[in-house]
Amino acid sequence: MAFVSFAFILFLVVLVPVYYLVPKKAQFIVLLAGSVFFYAFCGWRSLLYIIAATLNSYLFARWLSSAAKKENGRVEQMRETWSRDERKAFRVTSKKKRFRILVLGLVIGFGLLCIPKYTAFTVSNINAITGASITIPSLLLPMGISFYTFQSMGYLIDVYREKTECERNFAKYALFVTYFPQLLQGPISRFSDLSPQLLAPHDPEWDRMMSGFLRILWGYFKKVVVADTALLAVGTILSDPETYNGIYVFFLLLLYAAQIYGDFTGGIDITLGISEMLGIYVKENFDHPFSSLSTKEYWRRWHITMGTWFTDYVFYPLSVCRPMQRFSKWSREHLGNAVGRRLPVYFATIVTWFLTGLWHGASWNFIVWGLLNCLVILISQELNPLYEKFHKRFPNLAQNTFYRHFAMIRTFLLMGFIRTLDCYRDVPLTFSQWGTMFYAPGFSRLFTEQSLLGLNGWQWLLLGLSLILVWQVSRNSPNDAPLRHRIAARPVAGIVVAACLIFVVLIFGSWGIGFDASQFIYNQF
Amino acid sequence: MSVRLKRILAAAAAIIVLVLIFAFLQALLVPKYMESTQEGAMIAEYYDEPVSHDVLFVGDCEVYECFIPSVLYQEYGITSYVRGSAQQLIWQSYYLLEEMLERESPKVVIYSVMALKYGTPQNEAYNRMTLDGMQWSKSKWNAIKASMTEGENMLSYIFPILRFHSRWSDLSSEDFTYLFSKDPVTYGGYLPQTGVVPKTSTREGDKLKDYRLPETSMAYLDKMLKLCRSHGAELVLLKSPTNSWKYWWYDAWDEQVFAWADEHQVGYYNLIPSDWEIGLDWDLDTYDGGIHLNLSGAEKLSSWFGKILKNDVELPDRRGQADTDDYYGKMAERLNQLKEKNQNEQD
Amino acid sequence: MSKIKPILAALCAVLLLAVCAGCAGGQENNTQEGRFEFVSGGTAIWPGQNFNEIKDSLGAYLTLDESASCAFPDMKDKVYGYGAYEVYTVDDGKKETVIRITLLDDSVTAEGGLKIGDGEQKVFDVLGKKEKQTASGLEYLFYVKGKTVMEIGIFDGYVVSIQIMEKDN
Repeated sequence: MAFVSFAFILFLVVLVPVYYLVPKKAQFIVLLAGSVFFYAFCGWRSLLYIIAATLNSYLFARWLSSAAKKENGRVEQMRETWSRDERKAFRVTSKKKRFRILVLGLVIGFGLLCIPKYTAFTVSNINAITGASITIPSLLLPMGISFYTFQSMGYLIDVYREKTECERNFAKYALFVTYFPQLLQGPISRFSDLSPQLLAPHDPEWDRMMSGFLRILWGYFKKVVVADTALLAVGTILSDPETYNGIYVFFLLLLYAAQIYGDFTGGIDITLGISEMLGIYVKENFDHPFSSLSTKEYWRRWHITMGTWFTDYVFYPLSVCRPMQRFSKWSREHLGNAVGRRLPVYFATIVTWFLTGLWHGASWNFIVWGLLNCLVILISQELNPLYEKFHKRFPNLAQNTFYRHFAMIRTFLLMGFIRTLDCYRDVPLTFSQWGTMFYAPGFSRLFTEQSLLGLNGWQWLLLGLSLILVWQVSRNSPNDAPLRHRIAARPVAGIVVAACLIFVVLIFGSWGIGFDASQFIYNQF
Repeated sequence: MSVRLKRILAAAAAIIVLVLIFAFLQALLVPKYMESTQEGAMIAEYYDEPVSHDVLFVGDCEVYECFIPSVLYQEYGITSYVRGSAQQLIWQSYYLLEEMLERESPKVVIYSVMALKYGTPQNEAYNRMTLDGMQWSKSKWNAIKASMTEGENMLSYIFPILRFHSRWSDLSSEDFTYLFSKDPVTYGGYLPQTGVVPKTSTREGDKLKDYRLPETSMAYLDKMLKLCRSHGAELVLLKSPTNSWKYWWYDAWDEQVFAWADEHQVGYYNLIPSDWEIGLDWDLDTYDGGIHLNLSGAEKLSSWFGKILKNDVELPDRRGQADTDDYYGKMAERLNQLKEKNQNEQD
Repeated sequence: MSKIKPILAALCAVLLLAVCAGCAGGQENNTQEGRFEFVSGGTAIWPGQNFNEIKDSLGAYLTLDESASCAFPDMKDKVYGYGAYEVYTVDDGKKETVIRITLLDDSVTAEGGLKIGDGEQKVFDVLGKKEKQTASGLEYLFYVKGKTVMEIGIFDGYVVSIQIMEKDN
């Protein structure tokens, strides 16, 4: 069931009142039933996938928890008998055993993701490299599989690390995995953050529900007015790269930034808005990313939960694991301290970004996208001493408005360039299009009909005004004190703003017949 | 007044205001079909008819661009209405007829058979032009359900703003001028075209893989016959004299329709071979190279066909009745004014 | 908790997945990448192409049949006749798109040199063996490449018609 559909709106209109009408103990069951119903719209095969993923992580978590309990029990039992070394040896052996259980669970869990998502890519590359003609299988790719897999695997790892208790009730655990608002686009939640809220009883409160409702409407505004209008122009540019090269590649950078921002943050607003209406506070996934002054900061503000997931479950474990420590020792001994110190971190960074790219899509453009982001981060890390010298020389510059805007624009453009790999989905084509910006910009095409990019004057005006509105709201709405809270606190203002947003989305949104209402970009992940 | 009551009244007032705004926006954004694509305004005009009719035409452009009710009346006293629309599919014709037969009792229903070739929903734009003009009824509901193409939904027919909201960037003075009322575009359902583009193409229709008329279409034809007979009306099938390569009437189809008509004792007139007899001049009587007739061609056809109808079917001569004389007289006058205007423009 | 149960359950999940995965694709993947094209005088024509881009290079047409659509006079179906072949297009007033190319005689060839009058074995040799479908007294072979279809009419073992058109979704 797509967010932008009458069916979904009807679903919400029914679910939210039912949620509050049932006895509080049954609220989580309503959510679970709603989530299963929501996902069932994708087809029974997709439903089986998510059930398999849930079952796998649930059972392996139980196994891990049981093994840990047994281990602790045995140690307790043998406390008087065993020496300290014997206890330590037992713990090491038990941990290895639990690690093997974890690995098996992760292999199956990620296998459930990798088989449908990466088999075709792998086979086509084998064919390309070896000249073989292995049939590329056509496998179903369930909606949101990347999100719920990461979420459930994160839970499994947390249980292994004993950071979170294993959930023994299957239905309660299943709700964590299948919680419908975040199935399609995230955010990727942690069990310890989300589950208690999903299971806690909630009462309807006007302010909170109005705030959530406003957030949903704002999300739809960003999605169907901003993103889908920008998409019309983006689609025109991408439909004919030969014609729309040079300066149009720069337009693509700007328009796609608007599109993906509206699409992704809009989808998250809908997710978090629904959750807020239900009394559940899901972690923010964006924090004004286009105000970032550096790439590193950008990735702390954009798709936050994905970034923290890769950091906590890939980068840090890789950085501190035994083989990496041995490698670090070897490289310091053989390559000197300066290089030796860096290599392990850089290796972990490269692997993390490689996997991040691969997570976004099973194609080379996404891998290159990930590695380019990695390259930029590593280069800025290397240049850090230079930056520090520079800022020491000019101590007030960092706070200078002009400099800050320069840094913001620089970061925006850099990220935008790399993001065009997502547009063209073809690495050589992307690079050659970048080239045309410099050697064949074609400025003379700017004031022709071609430069309207398939939109009429009114649509450009709408896009411009809506971007200004989004920017202004964003400026006045920090994550910890959002504007909608202030509006929701006044019932009349809340209703007026809600009504205005409804009419704006209804009339100015690029949805319905004639627009080929595009689904959220990140749905496919 | 208690606080609770105040809140209820405020909420009620807010809802009324919102509904009014919604209704206004919907009225503004739906296409008016007054200046361009007038075909979209045709279906709704039926409800303003002040007189009842002895003959009803239903079907696609082969009725609404071929038969002129004022000619049929003035020459033969036949009262008629043409409830046609662009690419009107047979089930749409059926439900339109069902709706009309609840309001009046014609003696004859004439159905244009060209659309029999379509057994499945075809085109969303044509659907809207036929269905949006219908008043809400069980017939409309069923017609929509039978007609919806992929991507369409019933909600957008109940609230047309859901379909036409994107027109916000295409609004013109027409949308404001005709916001609350519309002018008639047809003449008793006939939509005149005054242009002249001679027929030059000799191309015939492409070969088909399957010449069978769809089962769905024939099933609806059966239903149409049953409907007519249950209301005491005679069903007559008709193929207009036009035959262009894109809208080619194949011999195999003609045979099937003939066989069906014969089996059910229904009159069937294939007018393609009669173009000479009708007096049609393909250099002068068509506005689009022979696909449809222009005003001149429609006058000749109406005059000729009226005689056939009068001979073959028992129809009362309504001339002399004050209401029909007045109505069709005004219609003829309007048509004459159009002809004069067209003549002046050419001169 | 017994060790066996979670392993079995996980294995069941994997097996379930394998069954699902096997079922999921379902369709025979016999379509190739690319498209069928017809080449005339060095100009390639294919269904879905913008006809305005190649109109001039095809030279003057011999015949042109046009037909407007009901209620939409700007929307025209056109058939350009070039003697040995014809090109069917749809012109919506902004863009003219190729819908179909029909070979009319044996002076022009399609994919792999196929032409009207060839034996059906040559069709099989060039495009692969397929089941023929019968319609209106003729047998037809349909080959799909990308978003295009080549339809070959066979009568008495010989090619009598060749058309290249868009694949219906």
